[in-house]
Amino acid sequence: MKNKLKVLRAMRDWSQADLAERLDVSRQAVNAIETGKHDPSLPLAFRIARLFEMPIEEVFDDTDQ
Amino acid sequence: MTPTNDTPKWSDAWPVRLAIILALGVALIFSIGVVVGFFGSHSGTRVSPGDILVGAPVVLFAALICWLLIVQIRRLVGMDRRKTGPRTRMAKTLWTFSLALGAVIGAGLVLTSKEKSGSGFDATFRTLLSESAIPSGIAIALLLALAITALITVVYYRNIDEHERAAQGFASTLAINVYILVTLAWWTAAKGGLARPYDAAAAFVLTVFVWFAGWLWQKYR
Repeated sequence: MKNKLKVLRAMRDWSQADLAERLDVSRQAVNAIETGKHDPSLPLAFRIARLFEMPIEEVFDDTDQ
Repeated sequence: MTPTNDTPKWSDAWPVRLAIILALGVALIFSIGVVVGFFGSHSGTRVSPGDILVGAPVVLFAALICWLLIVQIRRLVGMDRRKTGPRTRMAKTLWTFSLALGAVIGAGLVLTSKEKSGSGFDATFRTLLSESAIPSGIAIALLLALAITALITVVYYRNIDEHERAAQGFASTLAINVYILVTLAWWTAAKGGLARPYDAAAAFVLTVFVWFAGWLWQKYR
């Protein structure tokens, strides 16, 4: 699943570790989500969307599924 | 009270960090001893595939211990300012503890074995995985340490994030499949006179190695 995590993070000048701390996950988890190697669960996807104050479908894009 | 990132954690206290570093130091000395013993015993002789099969996990383990030691020392002296969430920090601390405890248990099993299989790398491992007796008191102490490790594991699994859980799930599935296949294949080959009798310790080491390799790949790829 594609996502805008890297862009949204860069806009806020957050490192992967910064975002990981805010989501209380490991930095490797953030990296895996950003690179599409791990699709987050619904609860984590909602936490991410809430953190960036955006609707979930604006952060994640499943059109290629 | 719900802990926040600003709440000091028990695991951040310097005595705890110092204890972790000391435990990792013991594990590192043990690992280096094993690796040095290996090269000492094999200098000028040919290293067999069996040595590599048993040796690779220990070299990986020693490297991991070195890395953890550096991370913990950097945190203790304040060089590492990287922040982590409370659950992630808890999971990492517990992981480090259980690894150090596992190394201490392993060292205890080797050092207190009544019948040593000789010196050197493969001999140390033969001692570790052999049926060689150890004193009852030591066995009780090691079993207690193992029970503590089991408790830590339960708390650890309650604190890992979903990416780590996925990596563990992948590694566990891979390891159990390899274990079943290797065991059945070895038994069959042994029955047909094509291989030596099934060695549970070797299958155990192989399974742990496959689990570790699978976890590393899934976690850091």
